[in-house]
Amino acid sequence: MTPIRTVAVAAALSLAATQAFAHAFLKTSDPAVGSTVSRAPAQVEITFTEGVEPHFSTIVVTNAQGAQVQSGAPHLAGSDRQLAVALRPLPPGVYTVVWHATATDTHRTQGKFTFTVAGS
Amino acid sequence: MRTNLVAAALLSAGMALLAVDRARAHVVAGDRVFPVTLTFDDPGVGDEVTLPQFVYAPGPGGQNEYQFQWEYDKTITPTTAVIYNQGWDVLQQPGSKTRTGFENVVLTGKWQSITLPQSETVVSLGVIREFAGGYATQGIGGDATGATAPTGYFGQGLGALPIGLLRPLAVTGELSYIIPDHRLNTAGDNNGQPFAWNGGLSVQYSIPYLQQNVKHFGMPDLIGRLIPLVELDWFSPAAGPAHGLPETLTVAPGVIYLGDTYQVGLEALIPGNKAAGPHVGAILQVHFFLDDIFPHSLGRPIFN
Repeated sequence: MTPIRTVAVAAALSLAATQAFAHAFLKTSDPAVGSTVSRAPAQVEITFTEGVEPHFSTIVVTNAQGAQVQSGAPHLAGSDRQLAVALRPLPPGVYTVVWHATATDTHRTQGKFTFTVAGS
Repeated sequence: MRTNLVAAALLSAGMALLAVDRARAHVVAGDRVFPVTLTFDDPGVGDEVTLPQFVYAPGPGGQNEYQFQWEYDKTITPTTAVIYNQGWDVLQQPGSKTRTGFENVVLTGKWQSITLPQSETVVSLGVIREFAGGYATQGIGGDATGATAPTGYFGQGLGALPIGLLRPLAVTGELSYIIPDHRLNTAGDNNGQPFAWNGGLSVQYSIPYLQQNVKHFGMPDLIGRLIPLVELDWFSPAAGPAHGLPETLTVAPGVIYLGDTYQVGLEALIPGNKAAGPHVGAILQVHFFLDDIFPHSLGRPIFN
């Protein structure tokens, strides 16, 4: 491949990349990753970098003893990039969120983080 | 790795050549994304393309080497791939006519043999095959004979560390044993190559990992996607005569911007010992993830 043809292919790839799918990684969350909140949240909502399939994605929230504290299955919240799960009333403590996401192009990703509910 | 006059003149800058003529790929293991390192291969396989990679390698006495390189990675199955590397180089020497030529073709067969998501561990095995080029290739320092290199790769994320701010750290590495088709003789005049070791090691700090798994600092997207890293590339003759090819070490500090479907990396190429050359070079890489860009066609393994 000549250098000129190589540059042309690179330019075409750049255009294609703007319209592509990709792995779905955590972009933001509420509560935020590693944050301390003063009031117990009613849900955990994760915004991903790409659209996800809710039926093939999970969010599990556990307390310091390892007991699950989410209520029901995760669901889309607003767009296919936002996945949320309701929480039971949370007492103060440290909570761990473990998520597995299946992007709309079927790539699977995962992650985990904690947040803290401060005592009153 | 030959010992003709051009190769000898290229010796110092050639350490950069040694450092960048092999395959690159990226891999995901659990919470960890290992980005594509610039000077040696990553531990996994994928459908990807490097297009282009520029290397500036200044040598002694006003000599300059410019390399324009490309790579294509094609998965055969989800854990095996064939990788093609080549490049086109420009060699400028004061008082001499500028030389240009294609680099030797390098093909790599690779098997991602171990992937442990929970511990962010990846191990791969591969065989790198360099095919000797013609006169023009040798004119810019290419080897006159081919070589085969059994190679091992690893990647280890440090997400299990007890200190949160250290969990974004990861290390990756590669070690090859180069077996030449034509062994260099004791006189060093038969255009052969020595048996040799070639290794790479990187230490990375992933800001995406920090913000996604440890603490979200609300950094701007430009900063939140950066992975600062330091790469080391080492070459050493293993045994027997190695005229003109001493042990060399190159240190490459830099940063990678990790996009959704591509990454851009920039590193300095700093000689780590005297034999590695007198001046600092640089490497710039643009790399596309075909499994993300074309997930239903070019980005899929042939046998899924």
